[in-house]
Amino acid sequence: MTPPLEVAITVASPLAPVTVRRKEKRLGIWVNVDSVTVDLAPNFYAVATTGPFSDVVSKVEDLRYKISVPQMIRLVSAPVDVDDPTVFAEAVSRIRENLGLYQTLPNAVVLQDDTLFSSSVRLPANLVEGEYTARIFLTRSGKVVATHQTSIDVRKVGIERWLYNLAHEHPVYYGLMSLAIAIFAGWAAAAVFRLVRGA
Amino acid sequence: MGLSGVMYIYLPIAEVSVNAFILLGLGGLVGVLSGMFGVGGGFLMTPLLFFIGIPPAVAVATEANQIVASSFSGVLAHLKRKNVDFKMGGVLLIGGLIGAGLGVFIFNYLKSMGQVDLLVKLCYVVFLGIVGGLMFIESLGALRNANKSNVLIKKRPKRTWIHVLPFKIRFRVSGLYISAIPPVLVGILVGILAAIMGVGGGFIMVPAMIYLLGMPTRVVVGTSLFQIIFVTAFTTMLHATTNFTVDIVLAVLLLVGGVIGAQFGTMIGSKLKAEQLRILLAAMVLLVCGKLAFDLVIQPSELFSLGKVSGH
Repeated sequence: MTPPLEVAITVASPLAPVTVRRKEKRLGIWVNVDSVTVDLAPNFYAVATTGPFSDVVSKVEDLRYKISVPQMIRLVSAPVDVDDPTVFAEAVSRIRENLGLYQTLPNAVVLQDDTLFSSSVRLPANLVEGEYTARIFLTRSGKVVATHQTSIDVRKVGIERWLYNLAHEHPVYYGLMSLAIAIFAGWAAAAVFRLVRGA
Repeated sequence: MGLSGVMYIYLPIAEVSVNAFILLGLGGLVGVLSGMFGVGGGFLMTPLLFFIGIPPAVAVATEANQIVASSFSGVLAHLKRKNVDFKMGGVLLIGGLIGAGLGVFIFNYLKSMGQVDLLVKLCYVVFLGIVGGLMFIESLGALRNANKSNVLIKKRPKRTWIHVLPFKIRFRVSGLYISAIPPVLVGILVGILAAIMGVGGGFIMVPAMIYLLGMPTRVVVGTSLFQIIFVTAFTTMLHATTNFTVDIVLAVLLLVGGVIGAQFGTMIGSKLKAEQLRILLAAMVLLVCGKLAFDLVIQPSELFSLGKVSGH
């Protein structure tokens, strides 16, 4: 009897470099001392599987297809002045896992049929917009038998998106708008105060 | 959706979700304090924002924006009573704008080196420590002397080094004929503090105006508020255009809380004795200072931090 078909699904945001800083105690206080730039890491990454990850994807296949979270963080040009650059790469995945930006979701893919499956991934509010990549791996006893890749356009919505984009694309207008709101609020507060006192 | 889902609000620039009632409450608390003590409150609000997880760079820039609102609100009453020395305000403002520019330059330089959080927190520990300590000692002394007969010796301002400096200007409203150099220097110092710490700087400027420049107390608060509006507005623009760290949603929530809180603060303040008030404020300032210092000294649970690659 052939072993059952398993599925692994990954969703990744566009890759970007990230600066990782490490604190050390200097003159009695904790100060950022060493820093390492991790060349490429997704801001968001989720990997969902039908069973425990190690059962669905073998170590060899993980190295080959770069499926698990640690495989997504690329540290190419390690600086010479830091002895242990890999701990900086580990810090990226640890911090982003704690923020819910990196998710490992075992048993999160439901096989409804031999060939039909479904899974859902919750995106955090502080995500980065862009072209996300979704990959699907069909595996049998840990070996990848088929892959499929597609892109998902991820956008924020509503006033949050409008404010974020205005602040980054037209910062002068955003700054002037913030000042106008502040001046109006200040005037309104004084006006209400006068009313309350007058009454 | 449960109630907890309704209370949390996503701050688009700080990029964190915070309980909206906590922000309204903080705004209200600091508003009560500013109403009670007649202080701006920026120097308490900014560190409280650190404590609830707002990134320091966002807290500083957003507070600058909020102070524009509270100072504008405050200056209107002083304008009506003609308690603003525009000429002195203008000279202080020249220094303030130079200082704010310098402050944002220092801020951005240290930000690129990953040291800006440390800079802001160290500035707070030093200034809160000094201001809180002095206030505490002074109000303790005042409490002790409260029973004795109060003998106030009013001295005419003596001729000091202030009066021999060049570039003398006549300030009619303040009744002064002094060099422009000291007010410009005071303005620069306050501008730097506004840009780095997200404060109006009234707690430095008001004593400097009274004791250093010899201005009459009647015009001190109105004139300092007048100067603070423009310096914090300039600081807001500099942070908004170079760091993108002004969070208007955060500013509005703090404002709403602050406006309501200030009304209650004024009512409470009029019922308590001045010495008791000051010792209470001093204790609060020292408590915040102590918490900031403690956080710098104990080992953080996460030694690593992530940042955007500079020049990106």
